[in-house]
Amino acid sequence: MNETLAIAKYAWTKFSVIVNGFLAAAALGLLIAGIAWQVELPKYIIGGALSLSYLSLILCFFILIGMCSLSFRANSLDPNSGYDQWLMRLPIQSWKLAMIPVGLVTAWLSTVWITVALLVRLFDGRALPLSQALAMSASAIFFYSLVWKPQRSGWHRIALLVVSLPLLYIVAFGVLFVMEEAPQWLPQASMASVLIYAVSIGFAIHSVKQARVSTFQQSRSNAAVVSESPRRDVKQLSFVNSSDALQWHDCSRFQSNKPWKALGVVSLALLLIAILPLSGATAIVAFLVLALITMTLTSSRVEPSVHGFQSSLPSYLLASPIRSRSMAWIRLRGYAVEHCQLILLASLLLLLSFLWQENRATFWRWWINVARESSAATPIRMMVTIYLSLLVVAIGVSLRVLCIQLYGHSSVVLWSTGALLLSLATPISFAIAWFIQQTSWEHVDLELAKWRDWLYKLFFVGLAIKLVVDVIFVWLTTRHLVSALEAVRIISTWSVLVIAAAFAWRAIWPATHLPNLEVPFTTVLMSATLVFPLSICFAAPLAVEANRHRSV
Amino acid sequence: MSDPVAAIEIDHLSCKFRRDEALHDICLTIPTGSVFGLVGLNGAGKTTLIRHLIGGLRPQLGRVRVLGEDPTLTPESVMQRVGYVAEEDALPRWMTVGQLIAFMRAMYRNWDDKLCRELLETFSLDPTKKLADLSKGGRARAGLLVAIAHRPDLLILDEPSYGLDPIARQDILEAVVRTASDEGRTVLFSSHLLDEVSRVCDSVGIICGGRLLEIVAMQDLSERYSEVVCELVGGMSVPPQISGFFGWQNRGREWSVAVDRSVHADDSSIRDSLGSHLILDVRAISLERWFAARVAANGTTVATASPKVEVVSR
Repeated sequence: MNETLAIAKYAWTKFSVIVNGFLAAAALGLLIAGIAWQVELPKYIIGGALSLSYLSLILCFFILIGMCSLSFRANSLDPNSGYDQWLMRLPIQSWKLAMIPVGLVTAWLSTVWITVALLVRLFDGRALPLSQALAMSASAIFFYSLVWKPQRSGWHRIALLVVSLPLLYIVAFGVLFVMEEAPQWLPQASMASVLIYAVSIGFAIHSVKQARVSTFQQSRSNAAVVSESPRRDVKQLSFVNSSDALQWHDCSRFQSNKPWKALGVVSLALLLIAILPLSGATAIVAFLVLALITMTLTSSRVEPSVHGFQSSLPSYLLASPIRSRSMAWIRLRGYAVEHCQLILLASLLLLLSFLWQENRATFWRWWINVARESSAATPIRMMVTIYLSLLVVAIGVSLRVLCIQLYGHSSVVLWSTGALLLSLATPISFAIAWFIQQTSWEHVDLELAKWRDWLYKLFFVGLAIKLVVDVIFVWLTTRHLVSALEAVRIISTWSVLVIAAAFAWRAIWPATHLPNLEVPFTTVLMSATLVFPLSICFAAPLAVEANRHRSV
Repeated sequence: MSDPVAAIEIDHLSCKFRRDEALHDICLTIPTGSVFGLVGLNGAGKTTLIRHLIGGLRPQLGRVRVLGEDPTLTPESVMQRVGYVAEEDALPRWMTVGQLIAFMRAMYRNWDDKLCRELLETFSLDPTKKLADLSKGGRARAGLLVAIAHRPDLLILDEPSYGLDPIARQDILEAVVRTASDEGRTVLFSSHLLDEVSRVCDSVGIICGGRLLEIVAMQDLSERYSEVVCELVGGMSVPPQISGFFGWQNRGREWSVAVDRSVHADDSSIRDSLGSHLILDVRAISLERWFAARVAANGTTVATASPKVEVVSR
């Protein structure tokens, strides 16, 4: 077996299970569609089965492009080359290492494109340019080269990839654009695609050569090596105390993940903006979805929970002389701050929905209607109070979930978080689903009036449960983790916060202008008592302690 | 039973992970100022015992005191005086050596900057290097540095030299000796590299199947046990059962066996017990041979033994 065949087989063995799985799914979809068509089942079944096939084939197409790159463990954030390290150690010339994936991807994309061109010729009669296959291959090879080339930092590579994507898109489909827009230039475009293909091969060979030098020669001239060299100045760190050090530890540990988090939030916010038409209900839904996603992202601050009898804390924290309660409170504070930051970022992004003319019109219509009935400041007061209420609810829920996470035991974390989220999400989603279906505000008002008695009863039940839970946690913690004085201080601070929040809410909420939105102060106070978490200050130290000193 | 100067006191400690017994009725007292070696096969219970000492596991049955305190109740005060090197390569790899030192310096009140600088130099560690970029030996040295730079009263090393090169192992041993040479400091050294244990430890305890089989002072080992090499008459394939003889090992025609000198105080007693079998050599037992014999004999020896408090002599 020659080298090329051996490496192709190596790549195939890595992906064969996945590719075969998708191909089987595609075949199954076709089979179901065929049978459904024969026995005249409803059309949506045939459509669903065909969609399954189509989706499987698309995924297969991209997986095979990934397979051809021979970058099985590529991590964009790693400044070193993404080319398979094991292959780079083999006694194969660098140009050959580059040419094998180039050949594989060209063969794969050409096969697909020629098949598509034949099908189009057969059914549509149009002739598609075959040089398009080379253009698509060139685009893929440029992409591979960026992944293979060692960079000064991972973010340098990501920036290059992001900037290159539109260019690669133009390279990939340029011939088709020319055929559609200016067919007289098609021969020149085809020639250009051949030239670009040749350049891409040169770039690929250069990247692989650099990758090998970087990995095995440790040359100082190489960017990736220089970036990791000890000559880089490290700022002298100094901490006031162990709490300060732990705060820094938690913030810095996943520093490299933060841009990813931000990217995740941005993408999701943009997606929500694109798919949801603006209305009060959809804005609330979007906010809650984003709060949930940001909660998941922020939870990476805490060590992942573990199975079995070990602590999830790393041994250097487990055996450190820092108090369990300090560890818990520092983590609560850091988590709350980061979650708030991410929610605010997401909220700002939601404002981008105003770029759409229809959304602006909807918003202004609502603004003018409300302002006409009351005063000019009423809409903004309504928005601020609703936003702040939702923010407090979201942060409160996520801090409660954090307390469970601090316990560090996988099964407990999974079940408790699931139960907590389900108990919150079920009534909220039902309420939102009901609210979205309503067309008249008067009807909503009437229904709410009917529910008000029930809601009040639920309020009392909720309050009673919360207070009992709070008392239990305070009692458990004050036995040895928190002094009575500290407990009193925490409870006093929380009480002041709740009362201040209730007064602030009452002051901002425009009830005087809209009497039908009047909410009694006791209700506001009860809501604040429910929403502002108290038990977390006591449950978190208990969770850290239980995680740190495991009972078996 | 209770020693006022004991660095470690373990009193009838038992631990079960579901149905698997990890520790069985361990009683152990390690006095301040000694270097104690804990040896055992993989899965014998060494790490579980050490986890109890650093407060990572709360005792199910029994009591653990480290430097006179319960490590699960007051970790903030106990761990100020304890240095710990974990079995696994668990340092935060995203930190540089300098950041790790700054982080640990903030944790310990008694951090000694001068000692830290000395150790940095001895271990040839570059503070600007990321831990992820260091070799396994480099990370082990960094872990050791932060474990001893606050001059702990008790240093606990859980398999610190496992998988390391000879130079890194040597550095670790020197650190153990250095810590022990400071007045009143105690070292608990867990390993299954017995030559290292024999070089640095004052006394050694064998743990097997969660049971502490025996503790012996290194200087007493050769007085308490001997190794006898003999040839069995008629090429017997099963060694004879003789009181005080344990851990038979077949080496071709020869057999090696450990002999308890409390049962057979002199060579004539050994000769009488072996009868017609040909004695080739009676020699001082090595730690490795004693360990192998003790572990091999575990099934018969321990089952009948009632738990007793093991106190390490200084």
